[in-house]
Amino acid sequence: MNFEVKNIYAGLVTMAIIFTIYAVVVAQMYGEGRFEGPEGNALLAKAILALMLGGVLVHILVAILTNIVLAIIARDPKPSFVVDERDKLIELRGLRVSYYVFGAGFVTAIAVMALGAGVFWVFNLLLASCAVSTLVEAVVRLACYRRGF
Amino acid sequence: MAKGKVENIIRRLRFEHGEMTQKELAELVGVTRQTIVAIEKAKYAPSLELAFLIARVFKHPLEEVFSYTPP
Repeated sequence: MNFEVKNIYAGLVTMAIIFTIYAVVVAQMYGEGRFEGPEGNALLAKAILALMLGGVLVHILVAILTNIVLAIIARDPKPSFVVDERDKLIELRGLRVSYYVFGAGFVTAIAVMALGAGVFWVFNLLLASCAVSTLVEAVVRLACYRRGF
Repeated sequence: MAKGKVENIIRRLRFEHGEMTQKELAELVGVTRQTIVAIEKAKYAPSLELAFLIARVFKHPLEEVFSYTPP
């Protein structure tokens, strides 16, 4: 398993952790009615910022742990950190597909807004499309590594 | 655009060069072992620069190491 594949798995684990925490916390706060009114928008913005910063920190931690654990399992004292031209091409292919998915999510969010939905739903739809596009990107990249590229 | 196939004799050349491993070749040309595996199986067509680097390792002309089959 090369460095990029490990990173893709680390990214998936990060996404699962961070979005689960976000969904649980935000759903609880939504149930308490804390996102209503102008202060609610500021609170939502803070929650999204926390999600982004938390995502970066969790990803770094998970990536380090994944590389250490997989190096121990594979009994490889000198794991490779090389990223080459094929990795970059696979990354580009994954990104291209993820842009389409995110674009569709963005248009859906705008359409939902045009139908009268509030800021809370629009921003959460954008976040959801971001999560789905990242998931699709990971699946496309893993498929390229498995099937050959 | 239909894709042709870029085939090669890297596997044979590795064995003729002291049974060089895929990992050793990968380190010499600066790519991952998985990329060498993909090139050997003709699943990935390397860039021109990488193809030249591989040919240079074996001290063979590029067209001897790689061959192109049009679609």
